[in-house]
Amino acid sequence: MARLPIRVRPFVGESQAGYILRLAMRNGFMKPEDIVNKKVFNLAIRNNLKKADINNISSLIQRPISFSETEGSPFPKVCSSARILHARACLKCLNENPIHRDNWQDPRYTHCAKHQVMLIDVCPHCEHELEFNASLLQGYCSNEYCGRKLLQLSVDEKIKRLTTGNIEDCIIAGLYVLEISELKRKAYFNYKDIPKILTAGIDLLTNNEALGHWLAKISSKGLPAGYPKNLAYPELYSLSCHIHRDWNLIKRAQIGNRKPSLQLTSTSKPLEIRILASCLGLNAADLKPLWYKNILRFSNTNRYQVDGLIDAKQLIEELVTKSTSEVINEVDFMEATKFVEQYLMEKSDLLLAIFLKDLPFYYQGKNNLLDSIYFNRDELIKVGERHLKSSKARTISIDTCAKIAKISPNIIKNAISSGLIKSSDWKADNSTLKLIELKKLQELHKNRQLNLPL
Amino acid sequence: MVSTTLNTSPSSLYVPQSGTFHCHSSTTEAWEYISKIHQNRNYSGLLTGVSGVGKSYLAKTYTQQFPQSELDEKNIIPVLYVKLGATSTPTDLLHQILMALGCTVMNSKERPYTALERLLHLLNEQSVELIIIDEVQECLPDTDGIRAQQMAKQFAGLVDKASIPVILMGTPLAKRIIELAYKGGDKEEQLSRRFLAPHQLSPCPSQCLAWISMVNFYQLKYGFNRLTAQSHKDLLNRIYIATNGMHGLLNKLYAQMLPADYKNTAQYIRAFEEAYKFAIRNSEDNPFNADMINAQQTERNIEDLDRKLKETFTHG
Repeated sequence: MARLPIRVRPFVGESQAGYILRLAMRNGFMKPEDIVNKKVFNLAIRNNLKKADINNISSLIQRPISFSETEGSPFPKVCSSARILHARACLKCLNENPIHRDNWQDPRYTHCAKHQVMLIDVCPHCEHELEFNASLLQGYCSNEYCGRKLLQLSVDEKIKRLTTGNIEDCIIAGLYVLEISELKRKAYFNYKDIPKILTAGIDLLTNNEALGHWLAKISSKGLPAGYPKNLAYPELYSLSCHIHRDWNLIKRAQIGNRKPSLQLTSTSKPLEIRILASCLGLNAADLKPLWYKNILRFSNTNRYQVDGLIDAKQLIEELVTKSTSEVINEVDFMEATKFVEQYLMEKSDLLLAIFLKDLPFYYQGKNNLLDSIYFNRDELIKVGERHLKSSKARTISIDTCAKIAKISPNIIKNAISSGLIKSSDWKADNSTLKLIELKKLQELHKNRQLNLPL
Repeated sequence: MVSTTLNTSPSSLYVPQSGTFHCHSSTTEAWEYISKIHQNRNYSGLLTGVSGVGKSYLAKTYTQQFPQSELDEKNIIPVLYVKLGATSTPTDLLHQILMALGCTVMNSKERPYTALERLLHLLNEQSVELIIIDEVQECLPDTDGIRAQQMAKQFAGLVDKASIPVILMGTPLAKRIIELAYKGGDKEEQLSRRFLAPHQLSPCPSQCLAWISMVNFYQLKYGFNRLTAQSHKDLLNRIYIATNGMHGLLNKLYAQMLPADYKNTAQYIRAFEEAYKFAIRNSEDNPFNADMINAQQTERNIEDLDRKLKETFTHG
């Protein structure tokens, strides 16, 4: 039976991969794969060792071992199975105690909670990604052509290296704090880990060098200067929004056409509304009515192009500006939406209005309705034409029609009963038995025959 | 010349507990040789001796005087005893030492330098002060070729990098490892300059107090009464002829003795005759066969043996 002479045990908070690495190193091996096979080590990197694997390691050192489950982020996983697979490290922690900590691989942690310095994941000299091997715990680059001592990055370097995901994850963590502390206080009241989650959330947003840097930059906007540590939750939320908005502008400049994205769950509607609002520079309260009227809608998929939303805002402004002589400096979303609808109707672009509801069916991959409209208008028209030609899509229910036209369904029914729309124009449907051919409706609308008040 | 136990050792050297090991002057010298190397830590050593002379027993006894201590994280091994098996490559050699340290996780494709690095790390971690490598002739091929040189270089690397003295033990064949010649004819200087002059462990001489003491050690170990020179001279001589004064053969012979309360020499001789047949050789020239070999012949045989022994070790 395989045995190792040095029988170290995991520390509290040590990652599984880090423990295997340390065990290998203490026994004189250079790579963790020398004592466990690669498959097992890959599981350890994902912090997902099976019981049998842990038993095998226990038998190697002839001692029972267990990994602490209380350490690491207490937040529910926003990004599914999210875990950074290349090594990250806090150099100050490594200097104090050369162990690899579990929360360094959690994507929601960009900074060391203890030292408030950014975790590094590449060698600052050669940009080589850090790997799980002996060099990591000794604080040296594992690239055989470099091999120099790892150094802490300058603030500018750190900001360059922050990914949008890092920031977003911080914000989402902050929003979780908000959600728990303010919105669902009763629901979470009995949950024993609440203090820990709140503390971790605040740590994520405040013990963060790069965010602190940005705070200093935007302090002229009235936010507290320097390095806030004890923000109240509303301030925290406001801070998140500001940082996020600024961040998007910067990242867009940095990464050109690559669009940063928000990772959201389909069930987190309050969060979505808030984030959407923050992206558009609006209050969530302004956005809610649009949300519930289905004018803005999230599809069932989880991913939204934030840039797309900002562009949607520009689209609305553009449309508003073109259709009216008024210049709207401060976007009132309700007003803007009315203008959009009116504009669409006046331009007889009813097709677009219809697709406001039905587009996700065609653009499942692109998800965002307004984004798709803006970027794919020509294509959209073509799709609409195809849509009209197909037998399935040529009909529209009275309710949908009424909703698009902003009229009562009874008016349409009256129009039918008074003979404005012939019965031959109708096709039967098992559920409603009231369907109307779209073209007919369009014609009637064009000719003002419906005589419907908007 | 003769001592019964190692209590005559210099006070600066480690003195084992009384009764743990009975030996004669050669064994005492070998013990001192190991002990000096252990204490000085500057040079390594080579201890040779024919098979069964008591090298392994000496090494094991020495190792036992420095017991391992088991901590939670690791074992502290002051003296590491390694018994080599068949060794075909330098990596194989290092792996056998690693196994003696308690590491059984091996990669057969491991390069010698990585295995050496690992070994050095573990020697340091486990606070090893002395390595005794027994049966070292196992790592030498029949001819002095490249492989033998590789092994010698591996030992040199180990001695240099570990800064721990190494005692190699083996049959007289093992001397080749430090007398190894390169193709050009020069000696393997790298290894010989790191080693003290080899020490040869010789069998116990006959008809001396050391021999009586050595036999009595086994007598007591196997539950028999002490033998004396006055009462059991013939028996002691016959035992000597049977075992050539070797610890290994003596232990083997006694292991086959039937446990009984033997009253006189004749009873002992009969019991030894049976034990000899079982343990050493089943032939007619059994030294315990009183009908074939009488006391005078035994004396003559002893003299012949002593002369041969003296010649062998004087020349050696």
